[in-house]
Amino acid sequence: MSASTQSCAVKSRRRWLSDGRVLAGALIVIFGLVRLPIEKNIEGQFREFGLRPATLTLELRERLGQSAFIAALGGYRALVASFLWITAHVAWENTEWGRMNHLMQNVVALQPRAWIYWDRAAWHMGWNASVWVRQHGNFPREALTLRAERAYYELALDYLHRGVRNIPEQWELFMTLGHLLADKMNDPCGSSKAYREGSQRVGAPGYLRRFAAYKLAECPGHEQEAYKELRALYLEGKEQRLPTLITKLRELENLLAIPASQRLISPSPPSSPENLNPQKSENTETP
Amino acid sequence: MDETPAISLKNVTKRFPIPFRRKAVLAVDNLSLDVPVGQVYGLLGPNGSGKSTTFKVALGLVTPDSGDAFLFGKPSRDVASREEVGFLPENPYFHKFLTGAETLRFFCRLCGLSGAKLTSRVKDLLHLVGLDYAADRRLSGYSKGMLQRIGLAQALVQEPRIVILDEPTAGVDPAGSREIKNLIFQLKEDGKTVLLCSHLLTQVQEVCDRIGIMAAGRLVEEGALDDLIGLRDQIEIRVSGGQTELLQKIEALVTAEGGKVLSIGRPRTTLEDHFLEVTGALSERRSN
Amino acid sequence: MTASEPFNQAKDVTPHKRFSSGRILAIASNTLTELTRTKVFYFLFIFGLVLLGSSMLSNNFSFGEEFQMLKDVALGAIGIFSTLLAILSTAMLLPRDIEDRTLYTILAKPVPRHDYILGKLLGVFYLLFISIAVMSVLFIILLAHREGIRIGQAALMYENPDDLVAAQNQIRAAAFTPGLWAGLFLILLRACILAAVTLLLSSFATSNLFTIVMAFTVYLIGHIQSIARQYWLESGDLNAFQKVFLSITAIIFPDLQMFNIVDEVVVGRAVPWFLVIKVFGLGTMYILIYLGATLALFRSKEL
Ligand SMILES: Nc1ncnc2c1ncn2[C@@H]1O[C@H](COP(=O)(O)OP(=O)(O)OP(=O)(O)O)[C@@H](O)[C@H]1O
Ligand SMILES: [Mg+2]
Repeated sequence: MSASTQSCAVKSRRRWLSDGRVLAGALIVIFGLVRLPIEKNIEGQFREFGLRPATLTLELRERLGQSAFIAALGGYRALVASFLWITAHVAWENTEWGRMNHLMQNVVALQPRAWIYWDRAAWHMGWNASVWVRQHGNFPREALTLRAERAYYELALDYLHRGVRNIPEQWELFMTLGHLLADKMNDPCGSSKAYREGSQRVGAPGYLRRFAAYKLAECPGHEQEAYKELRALYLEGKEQRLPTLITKLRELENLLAIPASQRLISPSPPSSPENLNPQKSENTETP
Repeated sequence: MDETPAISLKNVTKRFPIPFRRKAVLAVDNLSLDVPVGQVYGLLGPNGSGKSTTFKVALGLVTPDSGDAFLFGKPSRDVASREEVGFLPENPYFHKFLTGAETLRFFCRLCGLSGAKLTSRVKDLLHLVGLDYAADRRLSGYSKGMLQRIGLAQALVQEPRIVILDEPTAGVDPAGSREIKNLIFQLKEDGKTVLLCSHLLTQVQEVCDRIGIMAAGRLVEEGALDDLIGLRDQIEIRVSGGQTELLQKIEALVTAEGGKVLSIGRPRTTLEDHFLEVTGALSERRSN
Repeated sequence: MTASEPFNQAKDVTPHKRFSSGRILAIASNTLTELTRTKVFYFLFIFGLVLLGSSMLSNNFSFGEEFQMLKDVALGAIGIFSTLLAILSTAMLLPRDIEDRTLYTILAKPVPRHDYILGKLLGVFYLLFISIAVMSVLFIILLAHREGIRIGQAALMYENPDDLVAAQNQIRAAAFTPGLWAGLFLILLRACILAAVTLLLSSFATSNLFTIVMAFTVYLIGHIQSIARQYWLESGDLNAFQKVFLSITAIIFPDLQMFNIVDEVVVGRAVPWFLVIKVFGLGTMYILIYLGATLALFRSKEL
């Protein structure tokens, strides 16, 4: 290595060139220049195929603290997210809702493309936290309890809206959104819209279409539309003729006073046991 | 000699810089040396006189600051020149995590041997250096002499025409160094060229054809062994079963012929011979 | 030493080859043996424990959360272990051979220095491949096992066959996705690049500690720089000094973020093949350049 430090008969220019250090340095610098456009191209394609996160913000750094932020940048974003999720889970077991929400906000900021985090965060806020404040909130007045519940619904809604914006192709988020709007926020119109959006995604289960129609039936002013949809579903075949669908259809036929000749279902309820025991998967499906 | 020498060093100078100082150690100083084919050449010299450095230059392991080294006329810095040479470094170290057999197998593969040829070669070499019994032990458990033997076996892996041995008998027991001595004779008989250095002058004297003496990086004396130390005007006689009478007769005869008896005494057996006699039986047992 | 051995068998003379795969493989497998016998593979037990630990939590979570965390933890651990392995096992390879003077005996054979370096690096690659393959297989077996359990549970929950199929598809989609292969492959590639960087550093470093610290620095800067660049560029007001600093960093340090898609493939992202091949090409170039630089330094190195 140190051949250059010795006095040699070789001319200094030639010695300089034959020095391994110069050659090594030149290789690295030249390669550095050559690869920059290549890397820019690959980076662009990573973005194109959704293999790059939305930029990690300064805000996240303040939230996570220096070391977790560095780890997240150093290629362990997913791992840090998982650890935070477990911590959030512990907070849940201790019913520390504020802390839990804070941690979950960090998780979704780290892994915005993992639908499961958006989905579960919404579920924790919209269902678990809201139920807890009703049972243990000890508010002096009902109005305050309602307000606290409402605040958690809004949080859940916010998670789902942001989730849908980040991963528009995931039907699960639309389904949870539909559930939240229908079961918690009393918005059948919005719920129906969410179910319908979800039903149009790849891999969506068939029941989302039915859910969309059921909720549409509850949406004031859309009964006619809902009836058409339910009728179309009924006519699709046996697999759609589920008890709930039949009940809804009958309700609408009565409501809209459809002439008996045009009705699909006889006005008196059939006494099949099937009708009295609505299918589990249809009615007890919770997000 | 009109033949190209097996080893040839021409005006080799090597300095080692001392870190963080402007000075450098002059290890080899303008050294020129030729080892003719088929000879056993012994390099002598005090510690730090540059013997090992000279070997490394000859092998191309160390680049000289000036001068050139050749093996059979090929420059030593060409890797190809090392096809012809086997080297036993001083205090040889090998990968401690390998067994003796694995070590030799590794070196055989480095020299391009494979398959059945490799297996038999490893076996032969282990037998040659008397390590059959320790073939499957890790080198971390080898004694100094055993390492030396593996080092020797390793040097002979590709049946090189030149063998360079840096203190081959260091740490080897008397039986072993006698075996090494015999091995060197055998190599010579097979027409190999041997370059060695050792501090055991009696052994050097026994095996070497030529001697070079180094001091402070310079070759201070060089020549055939007989030329250097042969006492041409003296003769030694050893007699067994002699009585005083016979000795007196011999003495008288020598004086009458104009000579002079310099010493008469009872020669001792050498310590080496005695040692070998005593330990011979035990060594035999160990090898089995 | 029974000097009876005949030495005068005819020797088949083969011309010396500048590159010999036999030689390189001999050194590579020797390196692998060396690393194996320093018991590096014990870390696999630690990896097993990590997997076991993360799957013990699984019953508290929904299948989506469970699979997500299993994938996050497993790929994170594979990433960490492969990085540690690449840096720590490579850092001591050259210095140890030089210190123990085993290098003398090797280079005294007709072994060119480039064969030696190539063999060493190949040995480490081999080690990294085996380690990452074993870890991946353990992970995939566990994931498939948990997937089977969850699918079995779903069968008990749904009566409508359509819904059951939908639920099981949902479980499958949340478990293994082909993008994970690409993620694992790029982890291996990144580990190989790190090994090449470490070998380069060790060829001129004066101590092992220096090599290791520098290698981790390269790792960290290699990951952060592109994000930092993007961040600063977006924030707009860069002064001339910052610009120069950023470009110098970008030129000297590798952009390791190119080989990091783990965070996205664990959420089921698909990676197109042509992109994997492109990144592989880039990684190969990195390795070759670092190898070339190592050879340039090592060729003239005084041993
Ligand atoms: N790698 C090296 N770096 C610095 N100095 C060295 C190096 N190798 C040898 N030297 C110096 O060169 C000189 C000659 O060393 P060398 O090992 O050749 O002596 P030697 O004749 O083999 O001695 P010994 O009989 O003790 O083996 C010594 O002064 C030694 O300190
Ligand atoms: Mg010496």
